[in-house]
Amino acid sequence: MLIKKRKVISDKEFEILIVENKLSLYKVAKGMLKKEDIVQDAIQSAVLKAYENLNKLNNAEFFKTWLIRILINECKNILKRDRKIILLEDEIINKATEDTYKNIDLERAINNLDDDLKEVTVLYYFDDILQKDIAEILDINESTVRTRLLRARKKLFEILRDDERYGGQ
Amino acid sequence: MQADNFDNELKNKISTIYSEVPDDIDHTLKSTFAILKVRRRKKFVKKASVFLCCALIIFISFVGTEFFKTAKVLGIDGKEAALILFGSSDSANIYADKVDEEKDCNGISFKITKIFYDGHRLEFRYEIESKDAALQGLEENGGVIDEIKMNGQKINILVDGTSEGMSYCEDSHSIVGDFRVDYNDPMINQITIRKIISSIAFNKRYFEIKAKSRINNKEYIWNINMRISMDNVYGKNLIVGNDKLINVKTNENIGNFTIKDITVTPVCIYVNGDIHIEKDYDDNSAQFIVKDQEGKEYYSDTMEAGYTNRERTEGIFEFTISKKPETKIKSLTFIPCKNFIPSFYDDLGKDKENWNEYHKKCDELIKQKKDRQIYVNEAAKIDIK
Repeated sequence: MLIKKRKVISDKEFEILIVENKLSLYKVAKGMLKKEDIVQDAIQSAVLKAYENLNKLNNAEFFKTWLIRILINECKNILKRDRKIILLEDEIINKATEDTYKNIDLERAINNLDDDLKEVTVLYYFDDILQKDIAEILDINESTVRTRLLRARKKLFEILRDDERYGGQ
Repeated sequence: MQADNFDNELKNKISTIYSEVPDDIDHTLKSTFAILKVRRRKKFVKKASVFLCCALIIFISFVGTEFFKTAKVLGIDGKEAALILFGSSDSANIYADKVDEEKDCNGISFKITKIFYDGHRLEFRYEIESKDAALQGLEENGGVIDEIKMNGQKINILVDGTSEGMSYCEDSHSIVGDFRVDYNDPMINQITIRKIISSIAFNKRYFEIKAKSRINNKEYIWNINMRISMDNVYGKNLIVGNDKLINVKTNENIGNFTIKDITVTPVCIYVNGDIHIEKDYDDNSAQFIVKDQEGKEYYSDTMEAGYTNRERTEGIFEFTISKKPETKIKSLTFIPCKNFIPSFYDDLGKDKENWNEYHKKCDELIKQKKDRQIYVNEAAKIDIK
């Protein structure tokens, strides 16, 4: 006989936890994706997927890690999809329509990273997630996280050092 | 490169930049929660439906089994028991009396032998029969039908629009009678009639008939409750129309006649108007030939006429034409004639009670009548809309 697994988090608690973690969701999505509207789509899709799969969550303590993992996967899917359809000339338009934000150099630096380095960087620098949790989220070894962080840090340092504005600060 | 310094600087910078969530994200989350709410509701409705369906199936299975068991114990057929439960069985219905079913009151039986209802006319034929004593002692003041209700609405039988006639059979052991109400009679309160018509639900008509008579100083009461649920059923003893009637007001002069009112129901045509003659029309025995749009002839019952002045030169007339239910009347042409039906109407005798036989015999007799004398060379065609 099939017995449906009981949810460890109620519907009401789910909404409360989402609101509590909204800044983390935003930071991670923003780090991974560029455009604000795509960030919103990614967050919405992640929240809906999380709700649909809530009965798969075994322990409420791991809610945040689990939620971020869903969001990262959603961002990766969006990036994969966008990469297929974006043409070279669109890049020019995108640049013109990018959010006018004072951190434009930092964003560009992060976007220049490879995807595997980018996701580690976003989780570590944007949301201050511990390396062991990053390993859990990305389903990789902690040593791999460390290696990727090292490589990312080196590349970011180089990019930002070359930037005069960063050097001036 | 000082890794720790770089990390701290970068983290500080990022946390400064992304210190709060933009309003757009708040809106996104709100709309996401709204979507979740709708999904939850849909899921609930789906679950509730499944649950209710399962509960219903279990309930029906359980009740069904017990129901048929109980019916069996009571000696009732399962199907009949189900009909009783849903109020469709005559055996459990207070409106269970049937046409030709006898009701006994102290040895004298009463039965309704015919019901006619077509939205315009309500007519009952009845028979009172005594197996032992003769019925000659029946008092002649007033009719036997004391009260009639149709679908709970009392029909006022104390108006000029109602008529009741009785006749004794030869052996004096039985009386046949006829009770009639014409619904468009100007003497009947039209509001009451509309109430009666509008109260007819599901094409069912419930008749409650109370018949009362004093015979040899003894009172006899019979209560009949009938349910007529067959719509458009035309049989020997039961004719129920579907209330769809067309009424045409006109002022058409044809010779000595002015046709004023025609009512067409699924089974009958009712015609009435005025007669204007120079002298007493007793000798004229006027009738009409009536043709429909396809030239088909209809033959009226005996015309009923009455004087409206002392000189007997002005009068009113009324006659009824029976038609087959499927005939849709679009126009009628009236041709007055004389020496028509009365000469053979009586020859039909009891057969006129039989709808189909009556018409067959009429047709045969009309074919034989070569001496049809049309004394007015006029005809009036009236459209029926």
